[in-house]
Amino acid sequence: MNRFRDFLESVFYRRNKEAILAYVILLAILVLYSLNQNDFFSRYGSQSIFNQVITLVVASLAQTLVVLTRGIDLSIGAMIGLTNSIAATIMEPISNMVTNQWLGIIITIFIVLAVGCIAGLLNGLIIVFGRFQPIIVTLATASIFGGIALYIRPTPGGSVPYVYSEVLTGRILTFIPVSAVVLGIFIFLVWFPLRRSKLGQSIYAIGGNEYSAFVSGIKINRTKLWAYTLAGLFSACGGLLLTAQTASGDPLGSNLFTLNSIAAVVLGGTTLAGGRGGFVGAVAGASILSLVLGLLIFWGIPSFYQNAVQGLILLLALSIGVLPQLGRKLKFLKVNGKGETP
Amino acid sequence: MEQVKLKSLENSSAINVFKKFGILKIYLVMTGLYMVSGLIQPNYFSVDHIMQLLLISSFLGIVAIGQTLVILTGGLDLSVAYMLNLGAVIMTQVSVEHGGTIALLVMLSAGLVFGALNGIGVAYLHISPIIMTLAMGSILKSVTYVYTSGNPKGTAPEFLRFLGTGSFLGIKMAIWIWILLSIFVVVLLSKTTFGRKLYSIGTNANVSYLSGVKNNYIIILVYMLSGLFSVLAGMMLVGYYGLSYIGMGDTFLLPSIAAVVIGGTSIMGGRGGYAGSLAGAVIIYILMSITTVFDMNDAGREIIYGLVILIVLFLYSREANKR
Repeated sequence: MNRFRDFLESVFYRRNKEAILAYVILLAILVLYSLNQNDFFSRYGSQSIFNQVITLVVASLAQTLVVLTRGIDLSIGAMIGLTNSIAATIMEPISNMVTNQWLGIIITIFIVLAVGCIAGLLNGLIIVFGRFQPIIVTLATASIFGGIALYIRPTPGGSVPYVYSEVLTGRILTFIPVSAVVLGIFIFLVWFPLRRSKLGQSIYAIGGNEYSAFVSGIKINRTKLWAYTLAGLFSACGGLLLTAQTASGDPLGSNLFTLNSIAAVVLGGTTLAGGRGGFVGAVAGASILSLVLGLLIFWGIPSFYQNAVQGLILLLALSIGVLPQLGRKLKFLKVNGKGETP
Repeated sequence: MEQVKLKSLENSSAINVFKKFGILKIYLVMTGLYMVSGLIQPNYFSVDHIMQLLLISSFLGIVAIGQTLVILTGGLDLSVAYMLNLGAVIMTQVSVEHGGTIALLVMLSAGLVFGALNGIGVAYLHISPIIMTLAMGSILKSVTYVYTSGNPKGTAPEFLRFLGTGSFLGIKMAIWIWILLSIFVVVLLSKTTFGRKLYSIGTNANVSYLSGVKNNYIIILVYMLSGLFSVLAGMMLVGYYGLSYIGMGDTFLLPSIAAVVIGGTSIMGGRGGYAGSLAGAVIIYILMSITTVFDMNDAGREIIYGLVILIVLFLYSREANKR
């Protein structure tokens, strides 16, 4: 019992308590999976599950950083589509040019990540120095990125070296899925250090109260630029992972990631008002949204119902906190209008 | 912090409206762009082309009515695409079995009911508008798929074909309907207490609540109206095409937001109005007509579209430098 109280008082719990509901739902889904799928505990089962969730999880990390600063990024899907199109178009030619597959792949990865950073930085520059609402700027840049992706790859197609897909969607040591390793890298080597860094603290401070953050000496503009740039970088990572999974490029097929990443972030307990929440919850949120379809398939429910189930889970998760208060008269509107960035 | 004033008092004369929201600027941009398109392609100066342009814009214009109302309260409606789609499939499928009148009633009630659900989620459950309408959009997508089994049946009833393709006094019926709805919503916003309350919620929800405005009712009404106008746009589209298909509304979602923003309405709520959104919808289709002249593919169109929104933002949507 003492242990449990210590856990409740721990920093980890205090920082991630919003995520608990998402993990409860995820646990329930995984239990249902294990009941329905015979090879759930085999290496193939886990491999397919991690492959299903990884791209959306990485896209959610991008969205998390922006949402924490009280912004929102509607161009994440477009950036994933753009980087996916670029990767599927240039990877093989570059590999042939340098006559070494691995070198070609590495060069391509660097180019793609640079493109993601530039795209994200562009978002940040327009938002910070133009002083516009993030939602409308990223709506516009999403169109632009999508257009560029269409120029690069007018129709879905392209290809990547077989070895690239094989490695990123395969297993290491015969039973650990590479996707799980990538997920671990993003949680433990990217998110936790970032969360503890000065930049991470600044991001939370800005979302909590921009004015207070400003008078505390936090560089608002620089922090926001970093947040949007990193969102671009992680979207590019998502694009690379998607390229490995589909082994082709699709300029507009990634647009679903935009709204799904917002849904995943919110499902994980991060509020759109900024400053509260984090990536730990978004991992669960993204996993829930990705895995629901599999459950429907097991139960023989038409995939038509997938969107409704996703929507209902989202609404239920968000209503649970409010339901006890419904009987009482609410004094102030916290959410409508000014309370949150629309 | 701008003062909270009674908006409707300032709206009392048309000239003030022009001054206040820079509507004139938006209409100048629209005319200028139209001139540019005419200089590139002389055919565009013909009356036929203007009619065609307005006809095509009317569908987006009707969706933008609801979107304007929602954005004015500081919200956002991402469910318009599938609301429109649901209205369209109800129209064709129900009218085959029960006739046009029943179909119309079912369609309107669907729009109002799902809109009300949006409003209840935003007002009482405190779910932020983006998420609420996003989830509702997902649910409606499924409802549309399940209801049609992915393949909508039926065609437009007779009276709809007339509304979609017929003319009255030389002007297309769809344009007439758009004009009527526009007058209705402009009057609603500028001359009624409902309109005044709507602005006050968008300006400051707490102040509005403390002044005795029943915020929650107004918000539910606003989302109901948004649903209503979305299904109406779906109905008009059915009249225009003669049938319904899945994904009809997808091309209206982001443009509806863009039209409102191009029209000078603040995405934070409280400032703006429908007269601007109307011009915004027309501007979007003028741009599309320009891209068709240059024989641009979708890529060029998307890029231009994004750039124009950014340029418009630079023209009249910069926030004051807070620091």
